[in-house]
Amino acid sequence: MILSFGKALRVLLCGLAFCMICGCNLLALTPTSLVVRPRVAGIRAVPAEIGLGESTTMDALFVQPAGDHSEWSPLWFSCVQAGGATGCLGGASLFTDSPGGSPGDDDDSAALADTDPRDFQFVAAPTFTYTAHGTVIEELWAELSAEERVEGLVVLVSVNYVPRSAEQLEQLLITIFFGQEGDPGAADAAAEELGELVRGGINAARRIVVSDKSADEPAAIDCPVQVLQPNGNPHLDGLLVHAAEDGNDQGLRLGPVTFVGPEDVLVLRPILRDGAIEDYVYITTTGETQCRRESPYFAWLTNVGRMERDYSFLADEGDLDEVAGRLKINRLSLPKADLLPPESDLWLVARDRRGGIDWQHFDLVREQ
Amino acid sequence: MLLEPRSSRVRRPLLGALVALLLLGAVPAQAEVEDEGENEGEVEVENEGEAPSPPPSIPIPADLPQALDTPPVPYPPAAREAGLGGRAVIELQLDSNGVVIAAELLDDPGHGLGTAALAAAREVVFDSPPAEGPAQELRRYFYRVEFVPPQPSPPPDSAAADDDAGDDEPAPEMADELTVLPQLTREQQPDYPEAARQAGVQGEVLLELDLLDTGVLSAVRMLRAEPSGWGLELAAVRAAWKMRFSPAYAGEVPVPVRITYTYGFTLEEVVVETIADSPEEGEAIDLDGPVNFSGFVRERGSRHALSGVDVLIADLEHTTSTDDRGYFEFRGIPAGLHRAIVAVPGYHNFETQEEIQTGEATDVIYFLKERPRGVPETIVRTQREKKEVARRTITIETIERVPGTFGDPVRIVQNLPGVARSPFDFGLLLVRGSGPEDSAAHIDGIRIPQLFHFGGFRSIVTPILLDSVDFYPGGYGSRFGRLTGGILDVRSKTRYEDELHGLVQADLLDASAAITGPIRRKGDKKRIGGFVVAARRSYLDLVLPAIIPADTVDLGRIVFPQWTDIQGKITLHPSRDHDLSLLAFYSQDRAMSRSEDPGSAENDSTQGEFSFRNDFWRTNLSWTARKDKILRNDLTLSVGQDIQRFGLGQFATIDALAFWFLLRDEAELYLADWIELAFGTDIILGKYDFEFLFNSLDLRTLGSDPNAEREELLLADSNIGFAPALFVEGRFKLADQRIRITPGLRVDQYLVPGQFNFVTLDPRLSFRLTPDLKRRVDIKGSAGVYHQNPQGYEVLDATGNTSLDPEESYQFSLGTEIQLTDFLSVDLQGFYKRLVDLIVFDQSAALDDGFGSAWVNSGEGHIYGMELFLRWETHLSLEGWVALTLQRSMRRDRPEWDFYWYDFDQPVILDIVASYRLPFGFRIGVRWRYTSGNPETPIIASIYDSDADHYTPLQGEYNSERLPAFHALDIRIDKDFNFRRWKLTVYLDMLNVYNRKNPESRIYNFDYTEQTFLYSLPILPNLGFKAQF
Repeated sequence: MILSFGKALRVLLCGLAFCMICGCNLLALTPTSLVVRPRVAGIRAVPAEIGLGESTTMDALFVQPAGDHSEWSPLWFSCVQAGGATGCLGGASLFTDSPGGSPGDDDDSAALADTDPRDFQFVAAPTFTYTAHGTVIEELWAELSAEERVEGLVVLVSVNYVPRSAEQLEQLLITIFFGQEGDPGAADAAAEELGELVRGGINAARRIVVSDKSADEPAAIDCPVQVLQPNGNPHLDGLLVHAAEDGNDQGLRLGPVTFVGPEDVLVLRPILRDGAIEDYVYITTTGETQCRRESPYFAWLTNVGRMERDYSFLADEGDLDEVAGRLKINRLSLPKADLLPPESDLWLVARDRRGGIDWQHFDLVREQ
Repeated sequence: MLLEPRSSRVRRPLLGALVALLLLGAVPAQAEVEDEGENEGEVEVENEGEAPSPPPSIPIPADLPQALDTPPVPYPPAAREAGLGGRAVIELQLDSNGVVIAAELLDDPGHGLGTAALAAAREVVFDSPPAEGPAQELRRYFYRVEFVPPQPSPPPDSAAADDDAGDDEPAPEMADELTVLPQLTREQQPDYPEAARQAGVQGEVLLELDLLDTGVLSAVRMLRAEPSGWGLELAAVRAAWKMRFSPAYAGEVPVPVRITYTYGFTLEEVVVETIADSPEEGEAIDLDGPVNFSGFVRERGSRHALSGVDVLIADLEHTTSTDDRGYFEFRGIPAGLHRAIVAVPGYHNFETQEEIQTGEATDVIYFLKERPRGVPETIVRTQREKKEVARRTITIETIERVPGTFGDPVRIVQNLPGVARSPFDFGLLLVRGSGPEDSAAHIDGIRIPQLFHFGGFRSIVTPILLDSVDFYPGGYGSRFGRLTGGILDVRSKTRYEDELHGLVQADLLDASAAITGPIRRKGDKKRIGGFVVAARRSYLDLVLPAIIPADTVDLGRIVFPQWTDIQGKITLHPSRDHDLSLLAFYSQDRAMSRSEDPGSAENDSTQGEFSFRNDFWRTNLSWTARKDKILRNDLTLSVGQDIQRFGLGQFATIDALAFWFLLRDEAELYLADWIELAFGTDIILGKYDFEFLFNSLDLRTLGSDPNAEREELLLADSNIGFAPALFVEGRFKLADQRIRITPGLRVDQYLVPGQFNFVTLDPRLSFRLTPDLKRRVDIKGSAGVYHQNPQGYEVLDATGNTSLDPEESYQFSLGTEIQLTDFLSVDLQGFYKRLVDLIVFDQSAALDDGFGSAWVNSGEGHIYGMELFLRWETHLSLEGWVALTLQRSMRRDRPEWDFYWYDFDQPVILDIVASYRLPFGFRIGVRWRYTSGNPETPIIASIYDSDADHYTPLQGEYNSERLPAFHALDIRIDKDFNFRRWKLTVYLDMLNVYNRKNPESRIYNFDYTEQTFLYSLPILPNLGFKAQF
């Protein structure tokens, strides 16, 4: 059949416009929301912001493709961030070829001996508790003015997931630090192996704000809060699944385990706990006190099907899908039967744009 | 009316013969059949499928043997007393001893001069002709005798006879720029060689003619004949010597020129009208009678006036010529039906009959249709004096139909040597390994902020306003400055037609309209100038949203470019030595998109509304004054304004406003034949205001913490900038102008009160040597210092470092130009550029005090390469060029660091452009481009930043990899429809015909584990039309 001129022109212009925008091939790349390989999708600190000498405990959201049960274990490190430098991201150099020499060198040992052990906090465990103490951070803190302590310092924490079980990783670390009886080279070999693992591992980082909100007084302004407060994490309270395609109904709470069928389309809406969106006061660099409200957003991840959008936002930002006063919906389209695994996952991560983070996980089980 | 079959078309002998016989049979009683016509048909039938063999050739020797004994040519007394002169041309045949055995007078100026010259020529004794070549008795020579009438002070009483103008005669000095082309005032059709006619041989002969500043033919050279050996050459040369031309002019000054002239030998049927009611035989023309038959002769379609054209009333054997308006008139034509014939080379013969009524005047307009191909055509090559080593001038007519330009002549600069391809063909000027900020565009010498509209599809001026495009890739003289890259100087229209003309053009991108015409003085209606007005508007922004289905793409994210431009120019010639012009142009660009979720949710800069506005206008008032040939001065005053506004989502808005006052004065002083002096000033005065409003900027950690609180920040600056410059050039022409040396000096000052003030000194030198006698080889070179002021954002108080120095470049070039044939030339040039004091952004600098410490003059670089420009000018209906650039461009940001390949380093750039004129008004153009891919920096790993939900890439060695090469074929097909008073051109411009997927940029997925390419445009047809009257 011969296309009419009008249709041909339309097809042509559509193609032209599309290609001008996205080069005709952006769809070939995996979207952010689709988990096709193991990765870290967030690091949560509780509490999100601490004072000098206080501690916070971190865990990471490690996501994997459906059916991938390979074992990965985390290594945690921390550094104080100074200026624009990001510090000791990765930590691989701690175990292998560093500019100063190889691990185990006498010079390194001497340097480590001179270092305040509190400056270097390290652990191989699912969670990491960081305490804001040590010579470096305390000296930096001392240089801050009272006003500067309101925003404080930033500590960079990194986590490296390596493809080993927790037991294997623990054994490796023991060998590195304590050696192996009868094998003088075992520690070096283990350090080298761990270095390789870290370099080939999955790296992620986050920042911890160390501040003192009582160091300054905000001006009195019209605001739901009148005092400076450390940031808190947003609290996700689950997901609503809607029967209506536009999400314009009451919806039902999505349980931790949800049965799904092939080619289902789940219309989903995040639920935040009351008060999760914080009001706060902020003193600008010019000394002005401002009343601000958090504007959280939501990252969606799944290892099955396709999310309509990688991110969703607050309804008051304006959108075709908005329902007044509620968060925006997102849609998960599940694949055909032959591509739908028996078990799959859906993750929802909320961020408040101030360092606060929370997430929830939902199991999707194929209906029999 | 009857058809007179003088011959049949050789390519269709059977059909031609049959048609001729049928027609003859239809009107046997009235047929005026020539014998050769009937014979011709028989010959062709017999020879079908067999190529005829040529008869013995009759060559045209290159050189006339030296005259050993030249008797004085007696000046006929009557002619001398009457002050009559002229030139006689005599064809000679010499025997093997150089004795004249035959002489024939080809061109007789009359008054007995020709006879006298013929008699004298028979007595000349020459040395022996060259021994080589064909039989000597067949040698033909053309001998010229000039009769110079007596002057008030008595001259020698003899005419001047000179040797034949052979190939070794130096070319006439060519004018800088012709304003009036020579017109053929007396045409002479060659006699069709009988052998060729009988064998059905067609062909063409290309001649080169030298015309004196009086228009008199001074030399004829045969450049090429196809086929050779049939006597076409001799017939053409003999006919050429009988032609007359009007002088060519450069401005108001008549100048000598060299032109090419093609005689086409075509066998065809000729329509002849019989006169049914012709006037009584012997009825006389009353030459003193009133004008009763007049009219205009114009080109069909374009309506251009055809001047110097003979209009013949065949039955009265009475002829007149058209003037420069194409106007002709006859007086006292007797009443009755008359056969009028107009024959112009390059056009179909026009014949009609006119009825002249007693006591009435007949006014007519004759429209002549241009011949499509294989017909005589006159091509005037305006050989401008080459002052620059690497100026490449492009005439608009040559390039308007090059494919891929969408009919925009300025875009052709992207296909010239030394110009790298801009990513996405966005119209950036990337010249000789430099960056886009190092080159600039000018209109009539006045710098403009941009030459192309958004997206690079269109330049900001419509073609009707253009006269030519001068492109200087480097090594230019001191006239231009403030740049280390190339310069594109667009020259606006200076010549206007005698009538009102206009055009309307539209295609898938935009539509434009223009009108141009003469300005006449009140009273005598004498033309004293002209005007042109043009406007253009794109409509992608209107069309695409209406037709793109909403479910196909996210309309909210689309950036629909929209452009508008308006131009106008008025030129006045108040007196012979003065020209005044006022040029005004306005350019506007808009684009907008809206985005909420670009994939990086925390990034305010890519959320919200992205908007772009870039407007500017300029008004140039120019005055050109001439004092004989001694002095020429061009003064241009320009005022203008730039308005720029960028909306960067929720992140920031940038407003910049600048007023400009520019003055450029350039004088050329003729001191002697061997030296000219050029000097002038170039002053820019600007007032700028800009405002950067950042709605949410991380002022505490400067972006190192994505979750840091954001604040509003306003950066504003307002000041006055002043940049005066003085330049001077000495143009030395030595050794019969075979050595041209141009030393120059330029002094620039850059001043922003309270911020920076520096002065630069740029000495420059170029030379051009012409060692060969035929002036077909030039050796050229240049060396010079070039400075470039820092970009505004690099040096202004709020955003930059006010202590920066200008960037500096040392440029050298050496090359040659060879005119291989009249239509084929090659330009080969090597170049080297040393870059020092390059301004770089030091990312490791502490930004506590702003960007002031980050911009530093620590960069340096090397650029070297060669350019080849092989150009085929219009010949055999073909024109085009091959442009090849081989180059490397490297830089480093600190002396102690290694060099890296510059971002736009494209080692190989090849452009092949060709345009071929087909029968029936079709023209096809092709362009094939190949360029190396740009360097790129690989990403070797990434780290996930949980705070931003974003992966931070870890980059490998800077620019250590390269994108795949680009190549694409573009085709353009034009079809002209000539109507009586207007002309319609329909064109299809098809980009990327074989749909090559050309990577323009590498893109990654969110965590840099997958990658693909952003490709340039796929196959894209653009259909359009242009109607002009």
